[in-house]
Amino acid sequence: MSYVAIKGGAEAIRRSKRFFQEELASAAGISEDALQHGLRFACDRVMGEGALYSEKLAAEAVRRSGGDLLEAAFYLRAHRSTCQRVGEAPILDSSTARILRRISAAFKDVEGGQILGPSCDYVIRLLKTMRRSGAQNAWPDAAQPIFVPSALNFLREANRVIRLDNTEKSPFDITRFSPLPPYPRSAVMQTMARGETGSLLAFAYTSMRGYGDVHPTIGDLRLATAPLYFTHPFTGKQVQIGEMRLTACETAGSFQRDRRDGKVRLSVGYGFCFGYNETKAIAMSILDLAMSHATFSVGKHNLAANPEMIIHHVDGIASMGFTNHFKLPHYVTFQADLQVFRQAEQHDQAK
Amino acid sequence: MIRPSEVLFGFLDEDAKKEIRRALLKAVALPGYIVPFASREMPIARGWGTGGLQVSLSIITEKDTLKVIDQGCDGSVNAVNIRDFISSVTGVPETEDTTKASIIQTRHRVPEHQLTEGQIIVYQVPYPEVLDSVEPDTARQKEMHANNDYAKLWVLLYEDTSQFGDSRMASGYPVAVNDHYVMDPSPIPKFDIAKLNNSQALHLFGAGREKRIYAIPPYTKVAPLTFNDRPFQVEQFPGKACERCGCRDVFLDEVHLDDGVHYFCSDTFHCDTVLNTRGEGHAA
Amino acid sequence: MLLELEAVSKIFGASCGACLDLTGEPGAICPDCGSVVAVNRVNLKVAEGEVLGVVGESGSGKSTLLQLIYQDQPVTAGRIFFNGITNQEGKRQDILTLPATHKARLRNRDMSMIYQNPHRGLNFNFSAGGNIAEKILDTNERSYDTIRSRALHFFTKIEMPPTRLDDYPDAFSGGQQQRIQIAKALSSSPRLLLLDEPTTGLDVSVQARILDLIKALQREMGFAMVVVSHDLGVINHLTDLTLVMKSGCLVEYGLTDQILEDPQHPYTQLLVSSKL
Repeated sequence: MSYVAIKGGAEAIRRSKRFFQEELASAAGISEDALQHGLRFACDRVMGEGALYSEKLAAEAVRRSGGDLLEAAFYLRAHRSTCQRVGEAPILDSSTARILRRISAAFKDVEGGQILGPSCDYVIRLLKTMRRSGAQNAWPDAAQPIFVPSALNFLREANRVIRLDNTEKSPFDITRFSPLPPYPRSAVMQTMARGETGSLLAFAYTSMRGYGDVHPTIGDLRLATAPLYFTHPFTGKQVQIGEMRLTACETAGSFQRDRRDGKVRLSVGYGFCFGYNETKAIAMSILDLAMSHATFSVGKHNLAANPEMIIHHVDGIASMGFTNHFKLPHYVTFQADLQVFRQAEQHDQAK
Repeated sequence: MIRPSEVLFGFLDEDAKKEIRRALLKAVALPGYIVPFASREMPIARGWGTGGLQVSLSIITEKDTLKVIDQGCDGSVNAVNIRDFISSVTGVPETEDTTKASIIQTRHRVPEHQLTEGQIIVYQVPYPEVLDSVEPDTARQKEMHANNDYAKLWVLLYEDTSQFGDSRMASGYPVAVNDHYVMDPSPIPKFDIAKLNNSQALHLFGAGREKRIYAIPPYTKVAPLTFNDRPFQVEQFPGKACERCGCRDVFLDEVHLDDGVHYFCSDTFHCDTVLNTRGEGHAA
Repeated sequence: MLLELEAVSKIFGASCGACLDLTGEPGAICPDCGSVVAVNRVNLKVAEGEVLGVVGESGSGKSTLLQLIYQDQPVTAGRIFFNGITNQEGKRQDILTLPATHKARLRNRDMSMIYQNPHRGLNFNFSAGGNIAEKILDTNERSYDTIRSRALHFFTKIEMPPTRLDDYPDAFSGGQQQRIQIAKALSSSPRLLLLDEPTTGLDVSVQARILDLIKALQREMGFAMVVVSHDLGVINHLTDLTLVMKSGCLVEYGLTDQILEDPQHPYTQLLVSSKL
């Protein structure tokens, strides 16, 4: 009788874990530098979705997970949970950050110029052309630091962009409180900033093609490095504690009537994430646009315009975990299902 | 393996525990009412019991004795994993003995032994909101709970009864708590619903992914949503008994093997106890 | 009186505070702030069992008025009384001041609404029987057999074959969907039935049968009705009393026969004379 097979999970778990580690053993040989720089987009994505800015830990997470980026982001989130919250840094302005790359699709030329920087946009994707080289991995800073305002700034300064009402005294912290409807914009933006790239992309894509009418124009997309400040606990002064690489995107939508004075102005959405992840920042800016300016034909009922839909379905850690939990034993619930199923069959036969 | 010295007692920092305890207090004060909480990411995946785990870790003390079951079984892989984790970050003693445990974390079952005063049972909850099946909008759901408006759930029950003779809901059957809030008791079978009513123990429910906590305090009326002229039908195993201990009045697992279908107790500790009292077996 | 409205108003948009006085019969849009005054200080009374018609062209505020009574829309100003709703001292209480649960009970048990669009009145994810059951369940009935037999009772009352009770609304024609709304609305034995253009959009023969059905059921069950329609034929067919609305204001009120035979207000005269 094989009853014992149902028990005895401890040993099986131990062996399964070891098996998994052995399978990925060769990852130990990848240098930290190769991970951080050669696989930087993997690491950046993991930092963003893991909601923890640490290039070192992100690289380690990518290694541990064998390149499964959802898993890697999960490592960072779990680690983040054990960190004490020390306070709130002053707001970081991505439009004053040091530029590595900045493009605008809205204008042929803009103040500060189109700065292509490192980009795979125009790479011909042929596998056979990949060359090995011993070149330095890290991207060097430009000889002179470049600072340019957002390409949409002049419109904003001319009061031609809709300003959203800011009713929040301080940003909502989704790691400390669970947001309830009506959702504060800061809670929605935080959820998206640590959202899973593919999920944000899919929802944003719905609004681009038929399930919404956001016809976005990328006003300003930038890869940049911004200084991070914090208030010194003793001196009370703001000190720079480090730098952060970031991607930010401002997207212009259609013009609309500003509810505050009835004048027509442009609607603009904003996207932001840790590290370099252009797809995510663009998708986020489109979702922000769809949600913050859900009027006339866009409608509040489209998937992408509904904060209730977005806030609950873009978190990769949650959606991946829950999807995988269906692997757990469900034989008690399935037994219960079968019993009800049999009763319904009997009910039909009795008819 | 995590060494206890590397992490805080109970893994969570004190701020997190305090927030969860406050949510629990509110939940106990309003039986069946869903309380939002921040819900930290845990080192186990969302959907794998992070809600139950956070509740257990916020209430556990050095004096506690812990039991963890999944599908009624202490040896189930997920139960083992969670128990190992909790004891590695707290050092509290583990037990399989339902009667000796002060905290029981469970998924999908309520133990067969009657729970007693002073015991706390913590449920892992996948879907905390009972109204999700009829109303997906969070704001509307809150309004419906506040107005005690469960008409849509009743219509669902009417529809199923008309078409199939009974509700299609097999596990996680909606219950009215203290004649007010209707809640999802987590995916326990209908067989276990009666154990919630007027229970001596404190029942805590944690949904980590959905960031919700709720509770049934001891000695609270809990009743399944049923028409008064349709009996609440729980799972039955006519003519079947556990092939190991011979019990009939318990929830049985149906096991399909090469030589046909077999039935065994779902609650493995209960099964062992029955065998031991008879002196004819030992814990497998 | 079963229902009494006192100076009930509804303003859409951020009101400047003077909208009610700045608007009126000539126009409902406030010249100062642009808000729309859909209903402007309407007073009306409906006795038990009485049938009141509300006429006016589209945009006159008649549907909004109905929605204010049924609490589908929040009232901007004014008071609404319903017979039997009293405060602790036994004095009549404005239903707008009731707690949400009491409001819901009033709406669920004592009133029913039949909408022009069956998608508003019916849940298309529930069967016809389920839709009727929902209204019966609102009266706190918890016996399945009672609910089922009552649903069937009203389903046959609207001349539908019992075998179709478990079919879903989209399997029925437009006229049949309207009948299911009627069965649902009446299944709680309401004291007040509100009808918003109940037959608009249906073909004439179907219209006539539904109107006859409503009339027969009203005589049999004795509930009061408020019927909103732009169709004077419907008003003539169903109602005893009629009020005429223009730009949110009540401009004429009286016996239906008199209003249709001898309209006093120039606007009513226009309405009656333009009837085909």
